[in-house]
Amino acid sequence: MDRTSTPNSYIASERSLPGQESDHTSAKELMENGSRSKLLEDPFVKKVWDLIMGESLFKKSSAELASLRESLRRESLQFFTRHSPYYVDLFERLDIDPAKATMHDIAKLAIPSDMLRGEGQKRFLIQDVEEGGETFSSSGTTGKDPVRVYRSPVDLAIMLKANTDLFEHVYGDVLKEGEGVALFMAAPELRYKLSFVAFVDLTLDKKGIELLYGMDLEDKSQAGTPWQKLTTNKENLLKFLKSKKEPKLFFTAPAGVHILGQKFETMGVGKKIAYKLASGAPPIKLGKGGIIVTGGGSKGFADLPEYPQLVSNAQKHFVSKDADGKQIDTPFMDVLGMTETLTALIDRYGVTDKVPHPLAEAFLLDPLTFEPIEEEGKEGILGIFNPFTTSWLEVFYPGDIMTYHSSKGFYGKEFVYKRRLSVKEGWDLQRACGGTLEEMMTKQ
Amino acid sequence: MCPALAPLLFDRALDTVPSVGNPEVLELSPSALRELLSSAGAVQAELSSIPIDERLQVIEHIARKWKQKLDNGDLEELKRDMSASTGYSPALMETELSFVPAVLGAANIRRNLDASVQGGADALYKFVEVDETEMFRHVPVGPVLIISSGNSIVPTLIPTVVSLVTGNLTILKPSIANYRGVCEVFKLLAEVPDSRAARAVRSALVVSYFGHDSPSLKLALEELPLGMVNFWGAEPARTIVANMVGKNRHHPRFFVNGPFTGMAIIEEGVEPLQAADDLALDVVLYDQQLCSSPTTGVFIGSYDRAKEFLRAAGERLDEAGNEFPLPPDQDRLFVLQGARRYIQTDGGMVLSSKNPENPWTLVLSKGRSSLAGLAAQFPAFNLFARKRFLEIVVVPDAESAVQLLRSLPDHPAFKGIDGVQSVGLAVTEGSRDPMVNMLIGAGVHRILPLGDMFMRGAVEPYDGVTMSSLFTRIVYWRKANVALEGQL
Repeated sequence: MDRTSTPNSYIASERSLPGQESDHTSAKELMENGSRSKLLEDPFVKKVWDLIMGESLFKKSSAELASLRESLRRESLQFFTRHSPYYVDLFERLDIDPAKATMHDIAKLAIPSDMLRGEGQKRFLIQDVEEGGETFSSSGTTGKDPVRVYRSPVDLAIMLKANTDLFEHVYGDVLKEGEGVALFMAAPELRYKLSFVAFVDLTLDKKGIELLYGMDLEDKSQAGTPWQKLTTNKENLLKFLKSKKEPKLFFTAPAGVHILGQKFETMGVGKKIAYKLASGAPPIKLGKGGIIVTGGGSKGFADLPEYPQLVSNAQKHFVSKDADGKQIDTPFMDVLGMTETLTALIDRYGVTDKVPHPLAEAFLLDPLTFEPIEEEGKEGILGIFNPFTTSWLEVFYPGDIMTYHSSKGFYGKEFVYKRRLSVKEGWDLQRACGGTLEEMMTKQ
Repeated sequence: MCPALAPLLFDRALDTVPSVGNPEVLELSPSALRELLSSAGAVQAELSSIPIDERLQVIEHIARKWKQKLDNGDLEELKRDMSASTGYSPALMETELSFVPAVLGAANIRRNLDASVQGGADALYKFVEVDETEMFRHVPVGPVLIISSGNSIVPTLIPTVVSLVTGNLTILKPSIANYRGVCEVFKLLAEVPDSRAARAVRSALVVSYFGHDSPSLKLALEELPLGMVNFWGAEPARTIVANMVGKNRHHPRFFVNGPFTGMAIIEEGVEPLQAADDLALDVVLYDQQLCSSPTTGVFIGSYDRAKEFLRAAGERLDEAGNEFPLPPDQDRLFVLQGARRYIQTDGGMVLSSKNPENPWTLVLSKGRSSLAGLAAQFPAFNLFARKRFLEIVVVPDAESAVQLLRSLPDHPAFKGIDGVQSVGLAVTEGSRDPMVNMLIGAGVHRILPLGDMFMRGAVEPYDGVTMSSLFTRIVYWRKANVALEGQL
């Protein structure tokens, strides 16, 4: 395949919208498609695949993982020079020797996510990128083309396994096959558009956990343009509330949990009793291992309280139990993902700040010099390098300001979200998945 | 004392009103403008009748006073304020303020007038015989309204002084950014020892800010009997002002200075370190905000030699730029970083500074500009927002260099310019004259040695015309008809 034919093929491979069952790719199919990838003949891709699919990386020490990431960093850059003359030229111009690449070199290669709008990813795709994958988009609500990122079959399989592993690690338990039920305050149509939705959908599918979508797109006839108003799917919401399955997993943008809590607070006594009789809530009992998972933290688009306050408010209306059946404050996890990253950063509120996948490089750049920050606690621009992404060199900065601190966990450090850069600061991309869902939920 | 945000009126008392949308700023009211312009005939007649050297001595006196203040350190606060309002480094403001005495020097202005006024400067107050029996007298075309550029003092002083000394009642509208500095210069008129010339010059100058939506400005442009409107700036203001002037039944002259830019042309074979030094100076002085500043460059020669030159230029920019440190601006640097990364992923070679106080960027491109997609990707990073940022395109020959120069107004990253005003040359002796010959027809106004692009010569025209001709008209007087025999 020559380079010029690549963009057409990747656009053509964007899936048609769900509802057409024949087009629905299950997690199983997705894993099988990835395992059949020709790219696995490349030693680097094979190595990455084996690492992701093999024994738990979370058992390794942070030093071992850091060393592994260093070798992957160099092998990844060498892989791209083998698969695209574009990268040979780019590294030469940037004076980067792939075999000796440092984090400073990675920092030099990081691009603003803004550059991935429209056909922006095209130039970065390897020559032999495989068809049959999926293209995810950002909202595009700023009046510009949305960010669009193509994921090849092997990338999708890696995405699914890596994110599931990270999720379970931060969750503190494995999701048992076929156990429990999940409610996602999103519409099923978004599965093929928003990476957060895709990640949740596929992870639960892989585990055989029932997923209920708690929202509907208001106008399905415009399903190709998902940036519409979301309305509550009362039937699914009720089904979730009444379900006796455990654990109950509640996935939502922060606005979802906030709106639900507000609804309970403003309910009259009579209505509250009637609702309780019909659904058993409030409070919403999430059972053993029950958890609320938010997407992307609050970006403040819906006039939401700060995240700690939001958690505190919500814990009045949601209750969970620990493994011994003792009632506890409902745990919260937050997933910071974005269209352009294959794997997310996930935290567990009050327990673990945000951590990336063991093989992903999360780093902070000094806002003035764009050099990597070594100092703990200093605010920097988050950069992400995913060496296990094989379709393009996935190193970018999504426009989030964070800090880091040392940790005894697998990564050796954890990240704390501070804020998203503003438009004034030159950052047009204002909505990650969570923010987009928030906007859609609160649209008047 | 000149109030920072109130009109400078000298001996006059005129009504002022708060500026629309900015109540802390006072501007002349519509009735004050009417009153002022009704005095134009008498003011201009008086000033024009004073010998030119006496007028120039008044301006010279301002220059001397300014020099004293500068030497005494009395302008430190102004320097800081101007740095904050214009975004230039304090060190550059210091340089800028030191240029003022030269701009206002009587000898320099006299040289300019002698070179530009047909019949010499004396023709500004008396008839001068230009040919046998044929006499020229240059009279003011005013009243003149100057809407000046916003980023420094000197470009505002030049037209204002020329308009004044050529006898015009001159209304100067500076920008908010340079208002205080301009005011500080002209308020020194009040300290000039009393004389007929001093009084006449004072009565001929009013400095007032006018907001974009000012009813006074609208009235002046559309209705009042102006003789000349001199606009310094770019779109969209240019077209808005032009449309307003077009409605004026008095049909004032309308002349626009800018928007232009500068280009550096470097040829393989010249002493690279000297050329790098010169380029760095032209880039750093005024941070490429002048119409004469090089904002693009070409290197005629091989890519490898161009790379060597680029590295040398980077080193020189490190040195020159560190002398004029800019306050680090996180927002600006963030966009700059994105732009650098965009260019390097689009095929350009980028060299850049790691010092946020001297954030220079050099881009090297082969044959074509690597900035083509920049405008769409980073619309805020336009020509006017770029500072210490220069792309050098490597071309094989002079023809290709001139072709790039001609195409610059169509380049999306240079949107908003009319063309290339100034060309800074660093070419070999043998190439210089042929290059100049090619540039003559390429639409440029100034051809200079690299390293000297920012400097205006005393006799220099502005954007292709002599400045005195903008502000005067010639009264022609033929004393007798004998001299014309056989001429027609």
